[in-house]
Amino acid sequence: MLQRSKTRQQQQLSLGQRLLRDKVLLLFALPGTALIVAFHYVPLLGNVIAFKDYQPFLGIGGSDWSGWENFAVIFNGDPAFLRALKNTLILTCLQSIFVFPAPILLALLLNSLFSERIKRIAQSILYLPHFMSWVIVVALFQQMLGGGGLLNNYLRSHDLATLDIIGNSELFHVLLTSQIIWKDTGWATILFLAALSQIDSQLYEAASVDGASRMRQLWHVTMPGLRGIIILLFILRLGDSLTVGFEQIILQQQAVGRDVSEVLDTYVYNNGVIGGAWGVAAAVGLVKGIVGVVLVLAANKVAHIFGEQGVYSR
Amino acid sequence: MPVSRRSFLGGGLAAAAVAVTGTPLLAGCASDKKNSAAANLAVKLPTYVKYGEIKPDLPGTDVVLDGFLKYPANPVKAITDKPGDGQPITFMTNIPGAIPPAEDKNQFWQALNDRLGSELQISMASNDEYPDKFATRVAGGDLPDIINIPTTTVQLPALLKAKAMDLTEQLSGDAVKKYPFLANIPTVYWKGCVFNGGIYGVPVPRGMSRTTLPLYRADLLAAKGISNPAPKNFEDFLALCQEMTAARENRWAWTRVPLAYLRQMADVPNQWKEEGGKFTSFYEAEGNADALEAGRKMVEAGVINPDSFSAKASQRKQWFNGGIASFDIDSFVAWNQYYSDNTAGDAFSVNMLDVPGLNGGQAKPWMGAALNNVTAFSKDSKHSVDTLLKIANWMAAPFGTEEYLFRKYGLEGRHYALQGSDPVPTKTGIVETGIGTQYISDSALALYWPGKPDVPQKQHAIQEKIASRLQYDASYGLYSETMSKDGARINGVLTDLENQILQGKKPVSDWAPAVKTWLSSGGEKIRGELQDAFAAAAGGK
Amino acid sequence: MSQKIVQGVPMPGWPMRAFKGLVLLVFCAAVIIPFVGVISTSVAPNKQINESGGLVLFPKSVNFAAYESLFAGGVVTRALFVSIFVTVVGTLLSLTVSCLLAYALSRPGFSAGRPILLVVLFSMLFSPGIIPTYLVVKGVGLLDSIWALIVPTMVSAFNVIVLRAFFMNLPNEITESARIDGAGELKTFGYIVLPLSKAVLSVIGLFYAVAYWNAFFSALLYLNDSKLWPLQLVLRTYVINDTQLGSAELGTELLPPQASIQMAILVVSIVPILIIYPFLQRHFAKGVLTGAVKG
Repeated sequence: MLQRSKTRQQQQLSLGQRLLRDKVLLLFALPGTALIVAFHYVPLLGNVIAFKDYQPFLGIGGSDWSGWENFAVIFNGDPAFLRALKNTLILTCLQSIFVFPAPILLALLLNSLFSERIKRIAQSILYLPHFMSWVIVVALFQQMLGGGGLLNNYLRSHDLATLDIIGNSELFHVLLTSQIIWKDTGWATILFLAALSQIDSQLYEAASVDGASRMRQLWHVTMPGLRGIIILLFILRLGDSLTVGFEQIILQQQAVGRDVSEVLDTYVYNNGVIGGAWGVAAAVGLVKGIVGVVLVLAANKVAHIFGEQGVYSR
Repeated sequence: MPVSRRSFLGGGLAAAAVAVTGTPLLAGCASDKKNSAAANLAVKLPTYVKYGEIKPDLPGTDVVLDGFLKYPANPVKAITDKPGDGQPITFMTNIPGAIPPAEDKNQFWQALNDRLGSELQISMASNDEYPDKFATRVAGGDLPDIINIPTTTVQLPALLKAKAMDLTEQLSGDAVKKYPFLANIPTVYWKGCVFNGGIYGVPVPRGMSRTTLPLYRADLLAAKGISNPAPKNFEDFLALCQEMTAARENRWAWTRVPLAYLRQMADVPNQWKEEGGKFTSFYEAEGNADALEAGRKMVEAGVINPDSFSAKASQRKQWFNGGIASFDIDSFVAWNQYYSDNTAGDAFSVNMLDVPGLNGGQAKPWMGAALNNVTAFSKDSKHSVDTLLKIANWMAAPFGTEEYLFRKYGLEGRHYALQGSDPVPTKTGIVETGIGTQYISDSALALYWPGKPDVPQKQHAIQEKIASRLQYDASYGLYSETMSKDGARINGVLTDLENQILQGKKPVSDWAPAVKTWLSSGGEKIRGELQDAFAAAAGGK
Repeated sequence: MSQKIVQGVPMPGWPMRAFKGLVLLVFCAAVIIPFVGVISTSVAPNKQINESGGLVLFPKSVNFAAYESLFAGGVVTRALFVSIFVTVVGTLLSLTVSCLLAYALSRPGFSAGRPILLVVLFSMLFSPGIIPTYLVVKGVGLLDSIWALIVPTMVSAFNVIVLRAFFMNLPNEITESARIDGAGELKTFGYIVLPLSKAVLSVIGLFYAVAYWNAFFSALLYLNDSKLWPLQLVLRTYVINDTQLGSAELGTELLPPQASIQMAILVVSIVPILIIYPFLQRHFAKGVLTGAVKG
């Protein structure tokens, strides 16, 4: 009620009056917004090199215009590009289905533990891999599971059949996905744990007084408390869905081959960056950004249709 | 992989005979306005004046490196005046190792400043990140006085013209004699520093020290009763590899597939071959199919470490040092590196294989890339050309001089201990000396390992053996715009295919059509540009 | 202490509990075994590391040579102080600026809220290139200053959006009643919203701290003097010089360090986080049950 009457009142004021009224909030927002504009949007102007044959020694002004040439790498329908797009979409799907929910499930699992101590210990162990760089993670996976790694060395010296995991093209997408789960699931739980701790405990008490089972509590109290943040994170992830990891993949590309490992970011690297084509990288960045905007806006709309907040309200 | 981009883009030494006579045989990109081959041809290269004060124990030639059994006692101080002008000099480079202590905590660096007579301010980046660092500083217009410029840099001639000093006047012909240690760098290395009709940089020479062949653990082979292995053909070679493999004990002969070696066996040329003005890429050679088939057989026979396709360089070195592998394909520089990383005790011993033909006879090894990088001086530098060249000259003082001893080993007591006349580096020495001075300029590598005279002896012996058969990259010193822009991209596709074929995931028959695609997507253009450049150079003679 | 709630809820049956235990056990083992490998390798003799191919689970003997050589020369120690400074100061500044912005954006009546939110949101989707960013940093005179490691990355759009979502999730009645009591925005923010958001503040603080701690690229580009380099950039030179990425691109000599040093690096870079984590964990891992006692 209060909300609605305010909105009406707001519409009656002119923009200047409203801004004057909100001067404290404007002041609050100023430093952060200024920093984003200065260090994000101003350099974004430099992305005009997407339309240039940019050479650092000539400068942005001095480089020749090249029209849409830099975009050709995306729009020329090259089979190598389509292959990269296919792998990217496969990985995006795998990541949405397996990587995204993993920390939510883990947070719920941890949350449902009765022993506070076990919960904390488990959480403190599982977040650790987040701090390893991909170089180390890839090396560790190889040394544990590779053809000459600990597992296979053991199997071989006991005359058992070895397992072909690392460098196996067929398993590569699965391997990438499990590496991400291994590295980041524990870390990603902390946001959900924070959301869980924000849930009003009286709701649980009320539910248990009503004799609700644990399952029903999960469904009627916990999930509604988490839903907002889950949807928010999912929409933000969607905006980034053409990014499926660069360093992790390029470090392992040699072994499995580009047929299964080339994704958009490695494609841009192998076809532009490696030859000093800064314009191509900028062009692909622009296209990815536009795709991201479309996906985020669309997802947000869908969220609104289902009565959710999304990233921003309508 | 074995044919790394490093070797491809670096190029190899051009005909050594030309170098000896000092004939200025130069070329550039004919299509480029200012960098025409004819213009480059007009440049008289620096006269080669060999520094005669040092007498090597194992004398080299213009190809074979000088060998030393021990460091000369009482090394001569070859430069009397401090080269610096008292003002700080800035330098930007990549460094191959861990970051050394900063200037204020690095006694080597401080002593260096003292000897140079100018503070050397070095801005460093690791190998991986140097291209980004380099590009941003170029774009920002704040280049240091001395710049390490990778030979793979896109549009190198135009970049140098815009940003670097023209050194022709100071270095061309006899003028170089003012800087005796730059004059001590053989003419062939200067060929890679000529652009836009002028000398635009100082070379950081490598050449022979980068020649890459199979290194083997002589001690491990001896334990199996094999001494002086000299396989006569591929079959022989494969049998040797099988002998050195025991998968059940986690031992494999090789750290990786030595594809470059197999290609040499199959008579594939070194990068680009020139015959009567016609250029042929090594990808086009018929021998590739045989080499790939041979590599595939090696993988199938299980003589290659199963993780070789995903392993990092440091892992391969561990396998070799730890005896998990007894063969690795690498250069003379790596040979020395193996000794410094050795954990296998005194028995540890490394040697190098010669190249037989796939079906017998002798094959032609590939000469290593001539240059590591070109060092240029910024146009905006406040220092005089003379000062900067004197610094470069100081950095090129050869093995045997006091300057070299300090430059590579530091100060006695802190950075190395003297054993006889040999400097044996301390841990502090290894940490503090790695500040990248070798990328300002350098003398040719000398074959030498402190306290182990058998190492230079073995290295010298193999170099003498292969010297006459070495194959050179005909594209060295010829600039191709397409190669600099698209080379890495189109070669990457073939490298990927090579790996798939070797692992048996794709058939060898896929190679020929892929090379056709390579030609149509840039290879043919590169060939054309190289041929034009070469013709312009030859025509101007 | 959590009996009150537990009484109301039937304990899950043993199959469920066993299943949960098993899942956790497998997950934890998958993390612990490689970590044991990391720690063991960092203290194992080089000979054993080479002979085992790079990773050692059970060292034959223990030595700290890798740590000694890492700390020799004082490079790592100095970098550690730089990193601590950047992380502490940066996180405090980031949290302040981000919370103010997020709070403003979370107010339902804020007239400029929507456009600013879109500005924040879209900045996540378009990333500027490294060269233009370098030019801006140079333009504002931050080159070769330690502030170049803090100012350009001070605001993370993701963190602002998440903070805002949590602020909006607070029961509306609380902020509204504060307003009716005549509290201004600053008071509502400082005395009501912040104290109720300890959990998300510690999480976002941790996000920022870890981002500052792990950052190396800005230091690489903006700082020419390695004296000011933070820990991660210094440590990176030990690890990265060795990847296929680097070695293939530049024709340089490779001098890869020993595996023991690489592993010691990992240990050194994680220890500070291990130390501060439990203090922050208190705030967000409290969960429903202990929260209930308070309520």
